[in-house]
Amino acid sequence: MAFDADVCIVGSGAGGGPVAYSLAQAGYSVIVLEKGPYLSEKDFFKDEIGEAIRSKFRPFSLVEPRVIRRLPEDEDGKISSIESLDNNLWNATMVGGSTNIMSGFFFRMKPKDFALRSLLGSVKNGNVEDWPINYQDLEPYYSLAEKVIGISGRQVSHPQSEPRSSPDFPYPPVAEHPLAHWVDHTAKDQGWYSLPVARAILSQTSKNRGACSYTGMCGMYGCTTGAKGSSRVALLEPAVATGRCEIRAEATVKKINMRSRKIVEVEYFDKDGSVKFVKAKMFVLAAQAIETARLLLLSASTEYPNGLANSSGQVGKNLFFSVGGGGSGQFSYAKYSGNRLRELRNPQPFLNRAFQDWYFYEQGEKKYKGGTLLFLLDNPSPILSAMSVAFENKNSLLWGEQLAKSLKSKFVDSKTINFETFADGIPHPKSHVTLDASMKDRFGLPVAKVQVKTHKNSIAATKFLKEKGRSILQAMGAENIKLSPEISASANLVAGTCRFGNNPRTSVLNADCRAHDVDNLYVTDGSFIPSGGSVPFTWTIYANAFRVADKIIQQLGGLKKI
Amino acid sequence: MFKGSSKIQENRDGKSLFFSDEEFNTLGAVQNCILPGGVSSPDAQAIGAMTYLERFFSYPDFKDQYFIFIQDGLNRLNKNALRKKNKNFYALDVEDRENLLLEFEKEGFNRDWLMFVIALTVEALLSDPIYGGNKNEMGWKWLEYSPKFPRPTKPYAGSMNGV
Repeated sequence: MAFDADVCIVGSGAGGGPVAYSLAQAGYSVIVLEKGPYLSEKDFFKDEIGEAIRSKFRPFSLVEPRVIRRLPEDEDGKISSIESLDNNLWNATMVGGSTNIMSGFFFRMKPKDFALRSLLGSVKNGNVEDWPINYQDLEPYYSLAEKVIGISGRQVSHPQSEPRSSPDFPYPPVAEHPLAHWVDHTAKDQGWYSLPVARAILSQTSKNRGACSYTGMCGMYGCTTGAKGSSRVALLEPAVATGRCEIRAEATVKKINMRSRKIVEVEYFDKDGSVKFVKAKMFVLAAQAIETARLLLLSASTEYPNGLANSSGQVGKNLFFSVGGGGSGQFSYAKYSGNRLRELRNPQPFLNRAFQDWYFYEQGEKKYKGGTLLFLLDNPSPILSAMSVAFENKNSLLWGEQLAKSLKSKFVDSKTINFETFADGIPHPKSHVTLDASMKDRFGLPVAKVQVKTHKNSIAATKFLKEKGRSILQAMGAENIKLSPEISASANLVAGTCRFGNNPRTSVLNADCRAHDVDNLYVTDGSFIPSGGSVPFTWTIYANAFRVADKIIQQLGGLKKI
Repeated sequence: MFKGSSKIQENRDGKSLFFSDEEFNTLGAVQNCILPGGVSSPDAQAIGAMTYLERFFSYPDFKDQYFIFIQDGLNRLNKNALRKKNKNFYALDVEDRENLLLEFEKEGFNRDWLMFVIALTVEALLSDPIYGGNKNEMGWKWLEYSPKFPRPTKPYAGSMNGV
């Protein structure tokens, strides 16, 4: 059979990029299919309306619909305090995927996160399983990602430190706002650990990429210097430079076709809607957890009537999201003078501090999973900041003179410090992806139907962490402290749906992230994750995709002589 | 994909391209309640809140999605004014206008509408002037905000057309 490439990758974000990079470096030919357009630094602006308010990099619900059903988090189904950031759970759709618009707060998972079931036991209505690999299996790839993606930071020792194979980060940390030291002093006084946060942002020029320009407009925005370690800039562009990787943008995959228990080709619509094919030896799905599950279900055949690689019936199951909440406090300039006031007024955008003192906690005799508190300054997006003031209380909107006064207080007379919490999203049996029976996309294909049910333990952990956040802000002397509602399902951190495991009856992928059912199919986006730690798990997706790339190279016969 | 147009149309001679005179006046009066202006703060008219909105609706994607929602709310609000005060909303004194908006705020659907008009007014106050509001960067100057670079070179017009 004539192949178009050794490997075809569907999706170009954090799951697809490392595979394309590693395979191309190893001498193999790769074709990457991405349904979004090819956008790069020249296409990005600090355009709050376009990039943040109208989310122009995310598909419009009307153009690319999904059916989303959110169930209330409490068991009797009456109350929901959960707010949604976006209504369709789409994230950025372009070459490099969501990594183009991530904030780039990077955390490793902890060794204990790989064996939560063994450590904490089973949870009612929570399908928690141990990973089939451990932290040490992934550590070399966390380390590789630091170098290749360009992760900047500073290693400090603390009770929750993860073991590292290198003493420190390959890039020094990005510059910090003086308030970071206020956080450090408070932590020291209180006996907590204030931890510097690693960023997927270059603090210095490297590898034809510019250094950070410190606009602070990272999350929601494309990076205009190339400092942010997106899959496109850090992985795909170097892969293309080898001459062995081709990226086909605006290519929407329709179906994966099988013959004799092997995948032979993927079928896709090009920009003009014409049907095209890619034949390859190996196929990698990395279209993000929801779309990867949808594509497997759409690829049902006589051999796999319930969906490709779905003999376990687990495709689309175990969907979860990083569960978060937050809070904020203010330092009024009028109460400070001299050096302290100068420090507060410093325009530096990054605070980069976190607390993991409550990663696990005990109540009574029982041990619970807590999480991470991330401290940060406002994303300097004035419209979003102003709306947070106007809409802080949905039952009493701010407008008129009161709005003007509050805006002035927030923008001119004080500095706001915020925190976000990250708790484990425990997969609930009622959270899943299926195909909708009636709604079709513009190509006539059934859309994803996503049902979200947030586990009550995730909400409880978030509430617990928010109170710790309040204590930290109080200890710092912040005023006007407010806690925001829990956000259970945002498009930023989606996982599950094709869980990996050793048992083919209860998992979709094996420990190498290869489908139990199909020898030449791998999945490398967040779908494989059984539990994502109490941290943002983008670094883990990157690291695992590097690990899986090595497995694919082995299966193809090792490094190729070029 | 929906086709958006990046062609900008202006409201000429104080006439709206999209709203009836009554709707246009009601909207202007609501915007002035949201941003009345004060000793140091700019008012809705000065920052170009109406120009911002007219440009927003000149893009078909946004007009298709939101115009009827805005228009219906304006008409409901004005009907309330006529029923309760026997005058058009824009002809009422400020206190009566505010009271009617406070009543609006208590009703779920009308609160959603008011939130959207507030959001669009805040956008007009603090967006890049390329979008038609924030005249002379008045909003940014008032709140001592320094724009970040590179600033947009053309407004986002819906779908991915603005890219």
